[in-house]
Amino acid sequence: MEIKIIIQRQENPDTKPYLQTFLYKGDGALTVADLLAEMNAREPLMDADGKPAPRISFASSCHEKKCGACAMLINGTPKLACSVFLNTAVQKDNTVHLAPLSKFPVIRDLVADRSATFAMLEKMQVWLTRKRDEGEEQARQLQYAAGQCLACGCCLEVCPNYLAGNAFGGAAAMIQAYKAIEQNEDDAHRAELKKQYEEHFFNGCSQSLACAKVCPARLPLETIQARANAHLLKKHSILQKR
Amino acid sequence: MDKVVIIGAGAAGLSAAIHLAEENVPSTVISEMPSGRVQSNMAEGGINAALNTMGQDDTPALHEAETYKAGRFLACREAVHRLTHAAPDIVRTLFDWGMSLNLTETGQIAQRAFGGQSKKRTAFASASTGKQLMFTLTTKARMYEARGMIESRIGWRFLKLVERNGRAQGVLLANTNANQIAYVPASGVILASGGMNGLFGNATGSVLNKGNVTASLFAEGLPLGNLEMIQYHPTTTRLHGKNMLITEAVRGEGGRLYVEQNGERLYFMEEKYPELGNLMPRDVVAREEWYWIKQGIQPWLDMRDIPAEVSKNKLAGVLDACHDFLSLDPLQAPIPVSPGIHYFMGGIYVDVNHRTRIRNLYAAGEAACQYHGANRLGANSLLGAIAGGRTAADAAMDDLHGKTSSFQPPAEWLAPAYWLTGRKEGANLLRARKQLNLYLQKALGMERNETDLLRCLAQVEQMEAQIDGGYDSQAPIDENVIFPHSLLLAKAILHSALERKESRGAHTRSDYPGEREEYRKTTLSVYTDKAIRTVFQPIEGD
Repeated sequence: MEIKIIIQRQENPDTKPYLQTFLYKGDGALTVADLLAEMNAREPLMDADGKPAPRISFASSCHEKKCGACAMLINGTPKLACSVFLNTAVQKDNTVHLAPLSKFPVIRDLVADRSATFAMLEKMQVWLTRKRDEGEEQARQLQYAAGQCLACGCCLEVCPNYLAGNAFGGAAAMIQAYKAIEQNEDDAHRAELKKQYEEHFFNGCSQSLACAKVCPARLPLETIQARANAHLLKKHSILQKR
Repeated sequence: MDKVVIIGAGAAGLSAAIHLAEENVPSTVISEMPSGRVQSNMAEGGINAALNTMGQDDTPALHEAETYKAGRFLACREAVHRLTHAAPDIVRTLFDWGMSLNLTETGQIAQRAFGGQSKKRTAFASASTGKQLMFTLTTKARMYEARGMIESRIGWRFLKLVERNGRAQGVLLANTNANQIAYVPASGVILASGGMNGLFGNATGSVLNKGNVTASLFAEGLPLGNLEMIQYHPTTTRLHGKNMLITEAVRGEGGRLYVEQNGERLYFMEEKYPELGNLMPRDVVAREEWYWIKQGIQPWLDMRDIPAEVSKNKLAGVLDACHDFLSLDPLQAPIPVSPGIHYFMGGIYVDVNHRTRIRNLYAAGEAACQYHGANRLGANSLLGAIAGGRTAADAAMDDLHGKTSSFQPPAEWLAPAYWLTGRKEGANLLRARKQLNLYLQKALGMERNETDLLRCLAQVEQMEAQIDGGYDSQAPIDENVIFPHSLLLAKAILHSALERKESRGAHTRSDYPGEREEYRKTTLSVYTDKAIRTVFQPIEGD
């Protein structure tokens, strides 16, 4: 099959994005990440009009859905390029559209600057001072699921409440805060974690749950959120009793 | 004030950074990508420690003996001793830091069987141990980052070590996305930059680990050890771009290897090795598979004898990966497997304290040649990374003298054009690297021989002549500077494989079968006076 690969490109953060079309011929039994690597190895890389094009920048590391680096918009939906096969991505008009995640500043081509997600975790003080004893209160399976978060940003891309740099941290912050809240002993740091969770997630989430549908790791975001909220509300109920 | 610069944000790098921070020594961690995206996250099966939670009378001494034996007696025994005896504390500490390890019914850290080990010694987090471990280390490091003890510089790659008077003074870095160079002064530099995947192109690990740091330092004269010892993991499966690992834990939980012979399944490992069967050390399993593959017969990894509940709870990542990448359900059908490059036992030569031959310069993790000898035991790599990072940090702290290097590089070094002076445009380094990959895959495969190795050496020399100072205007500055050094490193590996005229561990010479005691030495590669010297030197402590 012949597929038109339409890529949103951008030379650097200060220049304007533009679209460039490339041609692919083959059976499409390769991932979008492999396709990009293959295109970059073309000599010379030429667009569909036969004009030379600069190599395409994209982020990738593991190529097997374990690192979250290669998240991008594939036909408008955030996905990991390493785990989407071209023959399943191709649309009826024989095109595949690639663009960087739109909620983050673009560094170059398909590379988005997701550093705000990590800065948010630091701001929210997501770490443990001391781990509480293992007990029934702990949902170990959910804690494990939280630890599987790829920080790819797909959940943030589809979130109606998220924009990089704003106060709302989205599901990527929620899931990590959950694990820390549940695992930390009941001390001042845990109280602070809850406060941060309330400010940077609870108060801003409108419960669209778009995040849960798009998560490439298929993490149970809804269940985790419910549990994190329960930890938070428990604090409130104690206060109310007093 | 002191500041240690760490190249690499994986398990070894973060382990070092956290250890330094605990002792109030600040560090800067340099990485192309954040910790959550580096190769350590890809580790699957587990981390070894004789915690003895499974009632099998396991001891660190036995872990030591089995690690040493699987490495075919080529590792530094004292280093292995320290590694294995530190292991229980390391795993318990990770658990205390919040790592989601699988537990037994009584709430103990669960342990499973792994290759080359007679006891259930491998602690694990389903089939995502590396991911969960890195989540834990990243969380810990974040606390120290917030306190100013750890500074993360993401989006930078190593360009060159700056050395004066035999001491590491700092590092030059290239920006990943902009044509920009920076210099970071240091009181000590820890190299935790991973293995040499980029020389081969199809390794199971991250494509970020090109081996460029190792190549650059080799070209500057830093000795490397045991370069020919490249681990082929017996259960990898081919993807379009590279090979994907199917964790050894599949066999640890009861997965079986077989080939079809006359319409029947031959469980070749179980037949030949009744005691450990499918769980022989990796070099042995890979060689047995190779025997069949050479005849055009496909080995299969069969999970169907493992109870489905066990597969779902302890091997979930394997089921997902097979579904996503192979359109295959291992609960219903076997997985086609073959040996694939997985780990480099060799690398930057370090002593038992992880010091290199340059003062204030240390190496840890897969970048270093330590612990694993001629063949690494499964689940000893995360352990080696954490223990090595800690040890390197300890050595760095012993060597600190209260101040960061005051050396300032000449201003022109910070101009990208400086690094291309005298070179002419015209090379295509993507193509060149791919060509190098194909040459090395062929000559440094499961079985090596003199003819193929010499041919490859000539091919790489031809590549050197072709590149001849040419540069690629579309390639990053660090790739332009370091690719010629990668060719040099490739030649050093070939020389090491040529000179080791025996078969030991991962190094199988079809023209020299069998181990020979006179080769129970470290293969040391040094680049001096524009020549690669390969010598065999006594193993440290022997």
